[in-house]
Amino acid sequence: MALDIKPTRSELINLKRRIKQTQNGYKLLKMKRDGLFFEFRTLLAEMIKAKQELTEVYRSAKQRIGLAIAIEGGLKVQAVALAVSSKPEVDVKVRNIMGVNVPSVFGSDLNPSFEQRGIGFIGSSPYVDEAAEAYGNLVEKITRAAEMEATLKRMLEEIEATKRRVNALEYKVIPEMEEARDFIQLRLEEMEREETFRLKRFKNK
Amino acid sequence: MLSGVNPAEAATRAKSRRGSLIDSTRMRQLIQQTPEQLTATVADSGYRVEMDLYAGRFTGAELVEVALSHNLGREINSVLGFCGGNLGDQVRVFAARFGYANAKIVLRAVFNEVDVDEVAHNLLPVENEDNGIWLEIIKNNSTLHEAAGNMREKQYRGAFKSLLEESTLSDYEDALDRHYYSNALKAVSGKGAALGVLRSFLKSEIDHRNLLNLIQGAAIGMTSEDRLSRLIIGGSLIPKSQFIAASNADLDGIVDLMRRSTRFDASAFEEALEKSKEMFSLDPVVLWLQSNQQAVLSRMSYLHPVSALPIIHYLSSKVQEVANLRLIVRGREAGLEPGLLEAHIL
Repeated sequence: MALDIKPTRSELINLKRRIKQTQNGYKLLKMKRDGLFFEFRTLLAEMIKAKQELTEVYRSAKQRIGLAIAIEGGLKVQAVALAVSSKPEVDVKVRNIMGVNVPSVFGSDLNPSFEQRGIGFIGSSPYVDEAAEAYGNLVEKITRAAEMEATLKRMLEEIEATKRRVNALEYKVIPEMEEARDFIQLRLEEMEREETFRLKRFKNK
Repeated sequence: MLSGVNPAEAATRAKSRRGSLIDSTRMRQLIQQTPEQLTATVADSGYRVEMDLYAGRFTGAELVEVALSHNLGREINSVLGFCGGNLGDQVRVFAARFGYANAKIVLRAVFNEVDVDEVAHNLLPVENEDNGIWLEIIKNNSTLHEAAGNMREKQYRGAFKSLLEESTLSDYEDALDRHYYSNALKAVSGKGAALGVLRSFLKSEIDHRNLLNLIQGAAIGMTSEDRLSRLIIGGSLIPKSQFIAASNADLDGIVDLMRRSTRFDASAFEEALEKSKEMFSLDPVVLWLQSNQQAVLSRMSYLHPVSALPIIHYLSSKVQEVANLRLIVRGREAGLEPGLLEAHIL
């Protein structure tokens, strides 16, 4: 590899300092990668659990709404929905995990209580209430799963980027700098020998 | 004493109509049909006129449900048409509940400023002439108080007497339910064996409603004061004197309370309640209460043949037929298991 560097002592000092800094950076990045990976694995386990729960809750909600529509009628379910004045809202904010910006999802009125649904209690249908509750629960789980999925995706991207940086430092940047350092050292030693030889020749004359 | 109409003729007409309803064996056979086959079968079972009426706007299960509701409304009007005088008043006790359901839809639409066209699309379809007056209320009123004041029938207006202007939608709905039962009990308060049967039917309905509400209230963590305020007066299992005890009781306490009655199968109720706890659903309790109610209703088919009872029995059988058909069509569409549907057919 052709090196375009000046073989001077000051350059060597600079290079040695840069190598030390880069090695420190490399160590930090490696620690960040490992830390991110640890966080990722912890979150992944939680995510798998959350997904399983979500599937279960979805099945139950689907069964309950099917039963409510079948027993009370789709029209009655729609009529009950007319009474609901609050709508679920989702707000996405950003939080930081080891330098990675990940979404944090906050919801309001995701799982409204019976009172919030607005209908009268005396003539209410247990089937419709159970379906509404199951769906409220489902929306909460979906929001949580969406937050976790987006977080995992962002962390995975960051792990990949950090891994690329670590690899670039380990296999390209640091070896190249060390090569340059060795080259300068070699060149300086050679120049020193040349100078010694030149002085000897001059003395012999 | 029935006056103004020949009750024997009205009862005979009701019995004759009952004969043309789909029997339970046929109903169970329908569960095996595909949703497309079901639409055709329902049309062939006496609902073709209504199916044709809505076929331009709806398809599939929604078409069937809208047609079934329209047919039921038409049938109730037709039955009330040949029941005049006291007989009509007694039959109206049963039929009035559907009007109360419409009043609730109107209040909900007014409360949330829902567009009248949205309600007229399927909840109170314009094709049904009876809905015109309800849709007018939605169109012309912007607050619950105004809408309640403009309810066509005086009976509904009376329901809201005790409410304040700042009362919530749920207060209005609860007032309607309370009013229905108090009015219905008043209407059957006279002497006579048939009226006694009707009274006991209504009382058992109130008891079942109160029981369900007590259980549900406990399940959603309602305070005992709230549960107390939601109990309906007029039942026989939980008389007014035991309201405080019932609203303070937990599930075991409610079962203990029920044990005091000799006419109530508390152990079967407890079994249904246990199943409910396991399933995290009130379904087993509702099914058990409904089958009890059905037993009370079926007695009406043979007790006092010359009275309002056979007519109310016919109307309830018609309501049940509509509910069963809707259950099968909607249930098949939702992909519910045939066994589950069969368990819910009454």
